[in-house]
Amino acid sequence: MGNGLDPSTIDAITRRLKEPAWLGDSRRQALARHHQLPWPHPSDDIWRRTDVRLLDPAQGFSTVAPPLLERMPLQHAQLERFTQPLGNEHLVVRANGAWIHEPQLPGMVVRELADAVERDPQLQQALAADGLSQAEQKLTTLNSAFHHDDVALRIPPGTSVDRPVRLVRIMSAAPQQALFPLTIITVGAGSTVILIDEYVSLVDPSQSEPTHLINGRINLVLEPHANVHYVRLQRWDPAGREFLLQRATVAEGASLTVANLALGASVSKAHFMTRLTGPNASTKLYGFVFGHGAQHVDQHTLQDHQAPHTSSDLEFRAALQDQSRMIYTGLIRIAQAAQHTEAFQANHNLLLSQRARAETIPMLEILADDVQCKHAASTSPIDEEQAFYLRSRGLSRQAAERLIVMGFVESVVQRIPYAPLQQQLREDIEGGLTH
Amino acid sequence: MTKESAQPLLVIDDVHASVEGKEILKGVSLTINAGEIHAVMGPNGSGKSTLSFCLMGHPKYVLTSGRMLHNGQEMTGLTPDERAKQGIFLAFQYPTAIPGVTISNFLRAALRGVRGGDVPIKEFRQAVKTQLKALGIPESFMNRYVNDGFSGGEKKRLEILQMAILNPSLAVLDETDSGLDIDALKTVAAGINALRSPERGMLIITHYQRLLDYIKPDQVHVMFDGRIVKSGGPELALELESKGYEGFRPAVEPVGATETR
Repeated sequence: MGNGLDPSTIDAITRRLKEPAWLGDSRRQALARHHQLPWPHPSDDIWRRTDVRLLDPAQGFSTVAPPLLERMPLQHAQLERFTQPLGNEHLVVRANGAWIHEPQLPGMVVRELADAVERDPQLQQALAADGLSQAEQKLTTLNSAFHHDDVALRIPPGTSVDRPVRLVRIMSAAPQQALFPLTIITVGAGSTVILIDEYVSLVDPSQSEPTHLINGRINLVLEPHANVHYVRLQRWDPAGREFLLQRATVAEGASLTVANLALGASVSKAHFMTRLTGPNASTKLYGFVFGHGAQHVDQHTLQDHQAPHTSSDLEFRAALQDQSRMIYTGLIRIAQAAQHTEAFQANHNLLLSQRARAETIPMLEILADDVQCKHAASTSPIDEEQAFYLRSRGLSRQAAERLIVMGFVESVVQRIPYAPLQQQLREDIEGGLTH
Repeated sequence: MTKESAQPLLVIDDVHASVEGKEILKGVSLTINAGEIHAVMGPNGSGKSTLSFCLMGHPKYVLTSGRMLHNGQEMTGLTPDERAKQGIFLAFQYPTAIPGVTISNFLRAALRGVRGGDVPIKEFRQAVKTQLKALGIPESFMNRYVNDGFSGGEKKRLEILQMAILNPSLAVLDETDSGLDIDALKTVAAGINALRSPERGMLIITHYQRLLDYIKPDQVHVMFDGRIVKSGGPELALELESKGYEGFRPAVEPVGATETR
């Protein structure tokens, strides 16, 4: 078997998913486009610190969709924490492209992409490449060509969803498997919802090097005056390598709060793009990375102000232990038309070991003249005065550091509007601290 | 006079200490018995805060010679948390903010640290409730982050709250009166007075004597340029108030006190 980066794999996927012809065509076009595009050049600031070959499925990965979960020797306990609700949330669980907890959400529609597009042809636009750099297209066309676990979630206009919706996607990954999850979320005009979008990869523990690749895409569309809290929880297995393109479009008067939490993967290159397309659109963007082992996390954000009277406030944080490495590049782009705009960006890195490293690069591209724009960045080890204060109260060095780290994390955890998840995250992060 | 016990609570014996290679304490000696309150007064830069950090074991402050004994035990080499476990407490002049850590979590961790084991939640809540009331602090305070965005008065109250909960045998209060208006000063002083006990010693470090209007010390020491230049009873504080620190400046440098070591 070849590497699977060819039209015959696409034919197999479309047959298996019983997709309409147009979707197969769109996949084949994406693959052709992928082959035309160059790989990102090392002179590109947004890409130079990550070896993109690590994200190339042509380097010995299989793009054939994984078999159903039942064929994997998974422990019940492995699954349990993802298949049980944390509290009163609406829980929807999907494993290897099959529903485990069927979506039964009042007022909401969750479908597979082909089915969803048939009813709403506009959804196809979610796959469009407009506004993406060639480098981003090079990677995201792979998702467009091979996506095999699609979820399209639509919240009709004027809906207020009473409880948080937690969508868990579990994917089993054989060694050298490439996975292509695709998520399209549309929130109708004036609707309100809290969405938790959780991604997990599980490997066969008997495999010694279960390296796998995940090329994901998330599209979030807020129609006018929608109000959305969106939490993305990345829990890939430590042997996973990730590329993610997450793009949110926020229309007039809509408000989006995002928390992106990255806990897993060995290599992660993630682009978080937010377009404010209508007047008075606003967004708050939070990010947290817990770096451990030899993890390499490279995140890029774009706060794209296209309309006047828009605001964005971004705060990304990373706590890095062992020899983990964090790269953050953040671009604020303000179009000429986007007068009276406010954009803030902050990136804070806490180094928990002498071998951990962080780089942060803010970028501004401002074409309007009546705007407020600020950025801040810091990279530092544990503050010795804080440590001394805590130790003077009887906390050991280790206990003091833990408390300081958990305080550092808290400013992002606090933004998640669902207490049971906050608590789970605190425990997960504290449990992962090696000190 | 206060009672004499077999073992003084704290003995500071000819302590020299430096910060980043610069000598700040140039031979300080002081003995505090259980039940006593001592005040150390002195102008800015005389070494008062250095003395308090040395007692607490701040890693930047290096004891170059002399001894510090707590209940007869040598303190040198003990980490700050080991000192806290032995009953030493420092109320900071500038308490550090720990964003994201609630006072409630912090106090529980501190109590666990000092006691060397978990404290039943019920007992903890009760102890906190009592002390909050005594200090006039609302219970919502417990959910705020440690010193984060606090006013001067709130910070000092939190220090006293910690002292009350941790119940140390020796409390060092570093300029606990600074930055307080008169009402806050009275509340804080009342909190300190409430913790006076025959088992506890206190070392109050202050620039002004106004705190001593509310807390009556057993002994007052005047510190100047890294040394204690005069010791006496409470009347010494009043003398300082009228004469100012200049009146206590040694007329001539004490013989042998210049850099001869």
